[in-house]
Amino acid sequence: MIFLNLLNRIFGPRKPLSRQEIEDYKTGAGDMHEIESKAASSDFNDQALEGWENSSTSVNDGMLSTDKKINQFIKKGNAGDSSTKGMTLSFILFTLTMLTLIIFTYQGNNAVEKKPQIKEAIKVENSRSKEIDFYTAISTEKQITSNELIKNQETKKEEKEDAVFSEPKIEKVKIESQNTDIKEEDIQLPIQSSGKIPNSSKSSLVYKNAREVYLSGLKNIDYRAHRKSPFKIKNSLDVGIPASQSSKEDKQEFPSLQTKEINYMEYLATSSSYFNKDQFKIALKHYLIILDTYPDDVNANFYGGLCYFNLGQFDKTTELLKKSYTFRFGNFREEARWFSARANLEQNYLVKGKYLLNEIIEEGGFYSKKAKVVLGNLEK
Amino acid sequence: MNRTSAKFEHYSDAELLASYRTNQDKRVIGELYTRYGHLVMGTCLNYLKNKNDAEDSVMEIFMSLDYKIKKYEINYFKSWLFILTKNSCLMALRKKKYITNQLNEEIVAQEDEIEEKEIKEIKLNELETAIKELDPPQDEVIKLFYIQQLTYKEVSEQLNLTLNKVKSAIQNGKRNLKIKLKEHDLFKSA
Repeated sequence: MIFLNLLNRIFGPRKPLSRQEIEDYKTGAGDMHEIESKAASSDFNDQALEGWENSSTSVNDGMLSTDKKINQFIKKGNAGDSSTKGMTLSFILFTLTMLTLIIFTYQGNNAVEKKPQIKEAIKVENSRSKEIDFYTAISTEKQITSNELIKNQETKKEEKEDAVFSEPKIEKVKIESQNTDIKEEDIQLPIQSSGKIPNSSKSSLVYKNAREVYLSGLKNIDYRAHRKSPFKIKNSLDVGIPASQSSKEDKQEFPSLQTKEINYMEYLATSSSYFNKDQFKIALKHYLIILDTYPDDVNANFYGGLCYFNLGQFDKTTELLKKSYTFRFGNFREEARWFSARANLEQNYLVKGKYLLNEIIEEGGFYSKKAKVVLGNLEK
Repeated sequence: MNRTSAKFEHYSDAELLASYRTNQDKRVIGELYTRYGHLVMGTCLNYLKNKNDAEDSVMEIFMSLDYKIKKYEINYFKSWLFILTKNSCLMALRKKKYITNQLNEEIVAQEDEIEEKEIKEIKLNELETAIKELDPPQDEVIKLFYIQQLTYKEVSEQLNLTLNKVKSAIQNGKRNLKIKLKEHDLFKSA
């Protein structure tokens, strides 16, 4: 799994850089490594990024003029086609009055056509939302609640403090964030000054723990440095469209369908609060919306995965938990593997489940004792 | 009028091209512009170093798509567009007598679009061995950039290399790594 991820990272295809990513790179606001990885994967991305980097204008300002020209070109092109077809007919058949009628009809059609377009844009989100509403929560004893997570966090912290009680405590900063530290697994292979890798059969991969922030008592990665720009969310379609706003004349068409911009941390805090109150369906919807914009977001992948678990969707649980830790953001790795093992066992995937449990035991982390108990029960 | 339509947002590039060949709906070009316009513009800025010339080239390229999509069989649009953009920039520079090279109009697929199917399950230690076999500084740069996930700047500071050297070490390192993996028959040949 790890080496496939690594291989994909080195050789796998990457999506084209978006305007926002280039702009973030210019301003130093985005995930610089992720953007550079995309640039390194394609000459097109690389050349474009370099071009914009050396340009003094912002991407949006720089594209303003060509955006307008392209809009005109497309408008003209499509209008040209229809006018050629329509000219002969209109010349022979229609009077000026008839033409006026056609214009009205055209306007009416346009207003009608817009509805399915907008609907199509949020169709996926709505069907997903409806699907979530149909899920049934598993029994409360089996659920992974915020209480369990917080309790585990505290025990883990206490154990850590006991182990290093002689060392000075790390000073807490506002909103309980922790400084970045690097957690090296016992299977590490350090980079040496010679640049050569010692010959070892074990993995050299090191998971870093990024800065954390606690929202509703739950651990989250502090993405504030990476998610400065607000992201867009679409309002729900569930509300009807007022009749007064169904014509083209209304500039504020379908206000309930419009997108709005929202701050990432605020949205994450709301999502955490729903999770904390055991409102897993609504929390899941929130986390999936975050994933629409940031598919690699480890917070949303982790807690989204746990929501799926509590709603009995174990296959989706493992799918999201797999994405809830990366080399840069390894904070959830331990928990994710433990809950993945539990999700596998819930589905009776005993081989996968036992394999993960054995790995957890071998690594000897916080969950190793629990894993031993579960494994012992399975082998009875 | 929007330059694109919501229905095209979910189309792949190949589907967009097929749709354009059938309907000649200019909004397809609008969608392609939305996806790649800023990359074309950035590349033009990189070559031409002048915003007005870059804008002219961008317009020329996207307006010529109407004819070129119908004429050429395009397998990998993104790579094809990149070659088209480079050629267009080189022609613009030639007009200004900056270069006199013969331009090559061949349309090729870039490796980055066909590599996905090449990746096989390669054991981690084999990958590590291949990285180890790279010449310095490619070996260290590849490790720091892809394994440690450092930024260009961080790699350049750590290894005391210029940013351009870091970038070229990544490109050359990737190419050499692939050759080594192929030598050991760990990569399907392209």
